[in-house]
Amino acid sequence: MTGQSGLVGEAAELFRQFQGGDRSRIEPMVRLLNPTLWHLARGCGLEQVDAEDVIQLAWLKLVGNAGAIRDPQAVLAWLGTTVRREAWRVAGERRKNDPAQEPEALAGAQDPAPGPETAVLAAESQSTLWNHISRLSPRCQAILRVVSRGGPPDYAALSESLGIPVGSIGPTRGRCLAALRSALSSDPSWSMP
Amino acid sequence: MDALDAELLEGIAALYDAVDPPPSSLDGDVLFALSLEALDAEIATLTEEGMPALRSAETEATNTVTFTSSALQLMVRTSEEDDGSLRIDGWVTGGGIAVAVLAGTTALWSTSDAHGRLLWRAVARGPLRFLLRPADPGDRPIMTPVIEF
Repeated sequence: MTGQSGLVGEAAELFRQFQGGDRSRIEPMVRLLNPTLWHLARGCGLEQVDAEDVIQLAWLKLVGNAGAIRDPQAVLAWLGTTVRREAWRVAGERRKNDPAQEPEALAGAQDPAPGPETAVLAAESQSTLWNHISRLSPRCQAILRVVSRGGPPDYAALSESLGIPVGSIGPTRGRCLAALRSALSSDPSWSMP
Repeated sequence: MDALDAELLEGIAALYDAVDPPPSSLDGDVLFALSLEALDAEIATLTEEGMPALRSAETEATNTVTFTSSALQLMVRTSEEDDGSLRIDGWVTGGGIAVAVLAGTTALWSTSDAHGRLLWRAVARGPLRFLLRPADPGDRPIMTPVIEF
């Protein structure tokens, strides 16, 4: 998936150098991993400002606990888990303060609703894909967004951040993908790139 | 998971990169937060707050705030510039101390004169904090909590 093993390996190498004393390696790590962490946080239903805070906190925690992470290969999973757990906590707090916001809002990315800004969608195939994804249930949208970022499947953390039982994640992902595939296959404007 | 699923997931990842990309400021903000953390600064305490921090249109808002650390004390007083931005007058217990106003990721440095006086002009309103670099490089830097001005 999207060269995840490359991402994990690259992050591991930078982190190994960081742990070895080259503190400057943190900058390329931040630039490398932030897009993935962003989609994770947003996929957990956080507003932009909260997503930024959560990501910042995860990095601060990583630097504070760098010595405790024995396997550099685990650094992306560690950051991802931290982001998801913290995102879940913040999303829960927000819901408590605003009971009107049902758990369904977990699909997130409601501000601004990544609406039909078709201008930003490079290809027609992308706008077709977007069209069908936005008709999936919010839960499917959230899970596909997070799972598409892959990383080592960490179903426990994913389950926690999405509010889906661990055992259901694989099947739910399968169902969401199947629903998307069937919608796409009946759309004449869709052709797999 | 077959090849088509994998391809589809790849397409989904690219799609979200297009519709909801990370803000361009994200990397800089994270790096700035990490660099502040790396300073291992002592956090000063807010010991005194004169005048409510709340602003209202009618009052000529002047806020005086005092921060105390183990070695230094910093008092700042804000007043309004003609354009609505802030003038910040500061006094710190000592001359030659570099003090920055941190607003977001920008740092506006000023160095105290022999009387400990500091001055910043035309500072945008918002959450601000101060970073003090003692004259002796062996001393720990000091950071204040964030205050909304």
